[in-house]
Amino acid sequence: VQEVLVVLIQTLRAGRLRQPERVASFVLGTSRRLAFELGRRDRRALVPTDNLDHLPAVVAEEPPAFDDTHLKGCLERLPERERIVVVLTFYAERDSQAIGDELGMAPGNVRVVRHRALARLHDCMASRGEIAS
Amino acid sequence: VTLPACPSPVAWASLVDYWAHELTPADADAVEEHVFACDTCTERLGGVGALARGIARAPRRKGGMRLMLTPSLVDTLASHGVRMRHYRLQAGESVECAVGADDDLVVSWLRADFAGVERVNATALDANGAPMERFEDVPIDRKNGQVVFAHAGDELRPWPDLSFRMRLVAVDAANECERLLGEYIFHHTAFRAGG
Repeated sequence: VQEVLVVLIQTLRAGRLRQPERVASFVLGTSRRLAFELGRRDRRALVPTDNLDHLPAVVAEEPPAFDDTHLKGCLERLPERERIVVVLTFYAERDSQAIGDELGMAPGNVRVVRHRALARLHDCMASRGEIAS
Repeated sequence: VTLPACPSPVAWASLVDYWAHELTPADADAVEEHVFACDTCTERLGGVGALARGIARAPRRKGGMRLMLTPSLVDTLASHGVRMRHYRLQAGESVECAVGADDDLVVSWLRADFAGVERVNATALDANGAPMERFEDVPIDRKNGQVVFAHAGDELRPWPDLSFRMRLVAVDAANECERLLGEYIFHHTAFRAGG
């Protein structure tokens, strides 16, 4: 949140936001981009420093939303193909094309497997009271 | 707090694709605009994000987790400091194996001929031939002709001395006809702290 607000304030001050009615999309898009960039780095790395030179150096990580032991248990109950697809997606940050190339699957099939796996994980975590059903 | 129902919720698949950066920019904008105005879908998207972050943390947990791997995933894990011990076997081979105090994962690279194979199931059998563990539809590294298993170090350290076999079989789409691809024998030596 802090990073996005800084980028938004810088953009407003620079007069680069020409459609104020689209500020919501701008904020969400910036959040998504920054989250993606952060995800590509070591989780302990700092956010892009060219935007944050004047701010305190440490940005706190978001605390886990639930008990990771339960998530590990739910992950280990997934079929092998579903588990590897979600790990390649969210841990190794491969897109469906790259995953499909590696596993011999069509990209569309990778996405279907991913949807199903996330739904199973959601249901599993909800059954353990770790996430809203 | 009960959130008001959303009359036209964003599809689950779209929320997942959004978080995986697999929507077109126009579709991503549409999701964002809806979510920004909808508490219910904000909550649902937050749930997807929490799961995604949890999945991203899972393979790096100390002690590891049981997982099928691909060569690229092995490289990624290594680059993140996950400590792995590797055993590479051809069909019919056996190996003396163990787990160390600091091993997060013990990785078995099992080679076979996967030409014409649609799906592969794997079964771990104890010394008497009784099934210990079964894996269905395991990912195949077709380029290198292998499947790659990882067992968590924490899972293996309590194991006693034992021998077991991994059996790979090709199965048809209906999971009915099986054909043996290879067997791989592991002679495991129990972990002894300080030993």
